[in-house]
Amino acid sequence: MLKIKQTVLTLVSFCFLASLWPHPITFPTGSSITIKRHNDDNHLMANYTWIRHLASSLHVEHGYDKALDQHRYNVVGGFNFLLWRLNYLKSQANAYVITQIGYFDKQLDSGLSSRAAVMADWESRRYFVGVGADYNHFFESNHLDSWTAKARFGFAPYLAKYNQLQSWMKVEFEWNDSKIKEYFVVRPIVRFYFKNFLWEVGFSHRGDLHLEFMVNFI
Amino acid sequence: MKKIIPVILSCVLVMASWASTINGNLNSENADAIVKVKGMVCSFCSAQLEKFFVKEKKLVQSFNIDMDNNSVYLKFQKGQKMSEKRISEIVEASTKSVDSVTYKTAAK
Repeated sequence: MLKIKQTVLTLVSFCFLASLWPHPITFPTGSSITIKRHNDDNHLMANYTWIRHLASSLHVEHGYDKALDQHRYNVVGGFNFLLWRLNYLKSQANAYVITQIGYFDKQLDSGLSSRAAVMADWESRRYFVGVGADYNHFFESNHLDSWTAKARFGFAPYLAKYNQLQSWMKVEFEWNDSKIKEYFVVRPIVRFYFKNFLWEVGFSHRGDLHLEFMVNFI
Repeated sequence: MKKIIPVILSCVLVMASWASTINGNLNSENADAIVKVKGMVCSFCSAQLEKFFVKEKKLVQSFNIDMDNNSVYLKFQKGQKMSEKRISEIVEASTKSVDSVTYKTAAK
């Protein structure tokens, strides 16, 4: 009965859509810092895990619109929730919800902003599947609202032992929809872990650079 | 410069004490206990186990994490034994789950 319940929960978790940065919750008293360059935007993310299912998070985003010569800043903070974590002997499945509120500034537009995301993943040492979506809402500038959905599939070319360099080949599909821009990109990514460091490099089919570096403080 | 040297020495000492409890030669043959862990899918997310077992120096002399066999091998201090309950608490704290604990020796 328990196995059926776990299987159902795992399948349901794939119905969630999410933004796929590394796990937004680590373990009680653990923290992480991530810096990311993505679609010409710069991101700084930090989180601190209080208990198994709850972390505080901060997300600072800076974007630059070349066509309009405008800088955009969005600073939001909030909580990350681990809905469930299913541990199996050879794999693990997770589902998360992220809720954040903050302030944004884009020259003529500024004010309160909020962000909500859901994400789910399943991974073994060999394979990775993740899906997610996030929605950005700008209270006084609705025309800037946007949502992004992502799906990621990964394959590890070799099985690394503990504390060995681990490599992943991944492909990410990203959909973005907003009043000011819409796009769909396919992004091959190589990801590496070593001890408590994670970094990844990728290029979208449009040529946008994706860089990410994360430190997990254990 | 005078302040930097003690800081560097402290870092080296901390790293040395950290390393002293990890024993890469520990395996299913010479361990006192074998802990099968569920959810141990990468070393990045299994490093938390290392953090928690390092803190158990009174009971655990050394340990090893074997990703291939989803196992943590424990060597206890002489005359000591970590209870299954405590092992479960540590593994759960690192957000993993215990599948089984097998004691290999007649430690007290």
